[in-house]
Amino acid sequence: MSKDATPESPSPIASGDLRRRTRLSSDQFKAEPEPFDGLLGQNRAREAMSLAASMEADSFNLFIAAPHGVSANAIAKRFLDPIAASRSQPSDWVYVFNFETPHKPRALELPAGRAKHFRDGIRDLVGELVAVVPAAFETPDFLARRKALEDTFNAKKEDAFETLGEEGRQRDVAIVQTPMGFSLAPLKDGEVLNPVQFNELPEEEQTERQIQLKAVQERLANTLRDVPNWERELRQALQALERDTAEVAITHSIEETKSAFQDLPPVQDHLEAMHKDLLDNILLFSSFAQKSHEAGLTQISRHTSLGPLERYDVNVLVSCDEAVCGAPVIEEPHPTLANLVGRVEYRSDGGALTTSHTLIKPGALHLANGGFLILDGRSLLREPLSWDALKRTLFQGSVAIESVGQALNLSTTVTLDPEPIPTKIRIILVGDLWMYFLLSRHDPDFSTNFKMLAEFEPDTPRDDNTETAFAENLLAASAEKALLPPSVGALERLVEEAARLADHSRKLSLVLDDIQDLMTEASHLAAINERSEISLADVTDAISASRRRLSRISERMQDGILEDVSLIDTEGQAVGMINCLSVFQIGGFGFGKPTRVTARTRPGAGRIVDIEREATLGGPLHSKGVMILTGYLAGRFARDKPLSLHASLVFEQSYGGVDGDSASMGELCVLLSSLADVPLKQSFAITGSMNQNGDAQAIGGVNEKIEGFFEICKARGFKDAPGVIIPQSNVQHLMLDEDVVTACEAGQFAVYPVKTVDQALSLLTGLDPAKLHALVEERLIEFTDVFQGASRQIDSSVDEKVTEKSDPNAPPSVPPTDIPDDPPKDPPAGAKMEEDISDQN
Amino acid sequence: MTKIERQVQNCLLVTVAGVANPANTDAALRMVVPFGGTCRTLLVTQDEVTRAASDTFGHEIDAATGRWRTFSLSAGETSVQRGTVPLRRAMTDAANSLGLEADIAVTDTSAAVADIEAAQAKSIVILMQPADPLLRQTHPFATLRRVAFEANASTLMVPENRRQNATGILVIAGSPETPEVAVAKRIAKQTGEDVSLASSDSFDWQDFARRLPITSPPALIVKMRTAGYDDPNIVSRVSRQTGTPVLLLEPGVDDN
Repeated sequence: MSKDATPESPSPIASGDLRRRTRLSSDQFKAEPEPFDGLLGQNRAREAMSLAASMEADSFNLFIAAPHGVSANAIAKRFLDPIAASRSQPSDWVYVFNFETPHKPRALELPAGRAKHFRDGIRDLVGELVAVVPAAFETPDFLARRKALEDTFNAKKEDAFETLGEEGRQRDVAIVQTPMGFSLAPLKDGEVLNPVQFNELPEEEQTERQIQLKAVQERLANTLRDVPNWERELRQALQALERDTAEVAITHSIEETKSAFQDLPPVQDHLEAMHKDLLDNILLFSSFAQKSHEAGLTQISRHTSLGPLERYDVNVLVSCDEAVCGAPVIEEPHPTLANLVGRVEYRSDGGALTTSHTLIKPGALHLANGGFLILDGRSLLREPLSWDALKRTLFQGSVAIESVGQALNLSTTVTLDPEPIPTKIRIILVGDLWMYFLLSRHDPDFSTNFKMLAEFEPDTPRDDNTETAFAENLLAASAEKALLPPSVGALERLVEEAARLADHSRKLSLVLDDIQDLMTEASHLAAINERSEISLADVTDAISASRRRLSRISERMQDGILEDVSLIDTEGQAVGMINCLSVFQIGGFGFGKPTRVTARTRPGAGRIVDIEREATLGGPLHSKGVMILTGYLAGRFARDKPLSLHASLVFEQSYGGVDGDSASMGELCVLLSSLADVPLKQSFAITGSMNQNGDAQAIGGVNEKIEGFFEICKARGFKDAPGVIIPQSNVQHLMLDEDVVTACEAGQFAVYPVKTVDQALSLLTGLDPAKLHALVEERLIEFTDVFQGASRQIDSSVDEKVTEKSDPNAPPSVPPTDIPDDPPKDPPAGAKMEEDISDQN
Repeated sequence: MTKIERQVQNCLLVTVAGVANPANTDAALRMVVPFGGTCRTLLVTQDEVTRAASDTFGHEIDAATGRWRTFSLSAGETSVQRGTVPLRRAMTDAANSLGLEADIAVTDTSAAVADIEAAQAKSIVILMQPADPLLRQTHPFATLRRVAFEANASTLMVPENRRQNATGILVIAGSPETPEVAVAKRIAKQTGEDVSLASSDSFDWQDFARRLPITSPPALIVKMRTAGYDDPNIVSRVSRQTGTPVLLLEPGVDDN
């Protein structure tokens, strides 16, 4: 807007625009409301989710970027459940013992629903063999054959030693047992000769006996040398017999089991390997049967611990529940490494930790294989090693179980190395947009694996259709959460609250958690009041209670103003003083508060001092606002002459940080008031930023700001027609409290929209802005004259100093005590002078 | 009570320290209990024999490997390790726990031989049969067994490897009215076992051993010794093969 335009004096905003109301009719609602899906107004996200769910390509995993307060995990699950249900069930997976490499359990893929049958079939087989195998070893036929073998061996041994003993007796040599083995001794008349007796024998006899001893000794050695060979032969013969017997006993059972799974080649291979292993370890069944008998177990059921026969057990890692159709949708709320990729558990066995393939537990990646896995990004990234494990799984297309110790090379315990299981899985990672950008920027693997983004909108346009849909959504949510049904009045109020949360009268917040929390609280109040539905009063009470819980600080601040501790005038007029408005955010609760801004002006070099910035309390945006109003002043009043102004602006009694440019319009007004020496109405508060042309620009938190000033005026009895000036472009954001609207309708309070600063000045001063500008120009001319005069004094003083230096006999000059602004070339000296002048003012 | 029953009540248990397994002395004493009589136990030491052998030759053969090696134990050590004290204590404890008045005499081979020879017609000689055939060939066990077999004493041969599932008493006799059946019935009365009868006509021990039920062997076989047919060595072997104790009664002592 040009400076010559004459603004019309703005009128207060009509009450209908202060709060856009919702009018619903139960006739508008569908007879059969659709289930709550949380995707109202999220068409962009819905499309992305639908595409990610339907695509077959591996790396098109989905990142959901949702604002805080949107339960994206639950929404994603609700969305994916019906899609997954329409798909075929994924394969079952089991781990079985690897008979060739025991520390690497084998993973077998089975058709959906067959894993438990396979496990039960194997357990039935083992249970049968526990009964059959020992029985086979107790049959008369087996015992007779074994006895025949043992008798043959024993007879051989008996004959050999009897012959030896007989030979010893014939040669008068006794075989003597010693602690370590056997020795030989000479006999005479059946008695062993001791050394003394032996030495008394004639020398020939001694020699002869030595020869006899030598012969028996040689014979004994030869015989004993043969015994281990005979025993080995017996062992081999017995093993062959046991194997033959077991073969007959188990073949039928094994074949029966194989026939039940003949359509599954991996199972056939496993049963074949198991068959061989059974024959090699057949005695395990005898010992197990004996222990079971001792433990009083008469029958081995599917639930009996198999003990040493555990090697034959089947660990069902993933199995489709027959009652549930389709692919899985798994949500893992605690994605530790173990919860994600599975783990190998241990049991304590006499103080030692042991494990087996039956102790392998699945992770979320196993359970979600063939379907969808929903992970919370923040939780995932917080868990050590989980993110890397997930990426590894996605890159390799298979999930490998490893412990934290293994991953960090810390574990020295002997453990298992289970065969990795191929995966076909769609990951849904839930986070916010900031996380998406961070991961995209800092982890190149992220973009490779997560090619789909579903971004949730924070709000949706508000019209009759969306209001109705929103209300229906609330009805569905109340039914899902088993809340009391909201009445139409309650729904209207909830819809309006959604607009308030969106900070826009023509939008509805899609951060549904907040609205649902409010509805839950209202339902509780309705229940206390023994109502069958949530009424409008319940919602209003819930909103009030919610604000009351969080309003302690705002009430303290308000008390400070009312007790004149914080100086805020709401009546009368004052020069260089105005009420601006600030918003405070505490957690999710925001409230407004008026702040007095004052301005002081004097001649100077065109500099406006922002005291907040000087005190390092002002943020960059606030400083920018001040600089913009400087630009406005220069463009408006000093296009053809210097701006000989020095001004200071301050947020009075503000002891914390200040940021944002929403006070820039008010700062300009108070500055012009000071310059023109025209008072401003203190019954007004103003908020709004501005550009260098003097156009009012929208700000945030307009509702809270208005309500903050309203509360003060209300407490003081609405004296002097109070009101708030806001940018015209903020009118669409108004969703003010009912109290404010009512007061405005009663003429006690008003909200004024302005398009320009001039309109605001007109309201604040009651003067034509042109007149006000003329007064400002007059004052600036005066300032220019004063400033130029002061500059000339400085110049002459400098000239004198130069003369003194060239003429040592010249008298010394007195330095000026009141020094105007230095030229910008010497900022430190200038800063000192500004302080001096400011003090004088 | 017949003489043979009185004879059965008078037991002479011959145990050789170092050959008899202490764990099986308990089993041997248990066999005495059903007879309901006294039990004199000869604990034959072989310290002298072992010491003589080691002093004389100083080397021995390891039964497991069949290799000779230097005999390193001194006589004192041998005495301690082979000593009769632990075995005697074990047997005393076992006898006490069974309520037997066991008179355990520690003796050497020659005294034991004399006792066995004197026992004929008055006692039964209970011989533990080591499972290891080489142990059975050692002095003094081989000597004592030979004496027992040649002394025409009633002999109860108890194999070390007895069957766990054995039940009943099998009497091999010509008719149910024989003394051996009476003895069996007396033992059965004490133990609660059943008595069954097998014909002694054309009886052959080797054939009998082959036909003996493997799954349910008898707990005791009782037979009257028939001269020329019941070679104690063969009976001893059958007893060991079948894991069944055999009571071979001496026919020289009859009711009259």
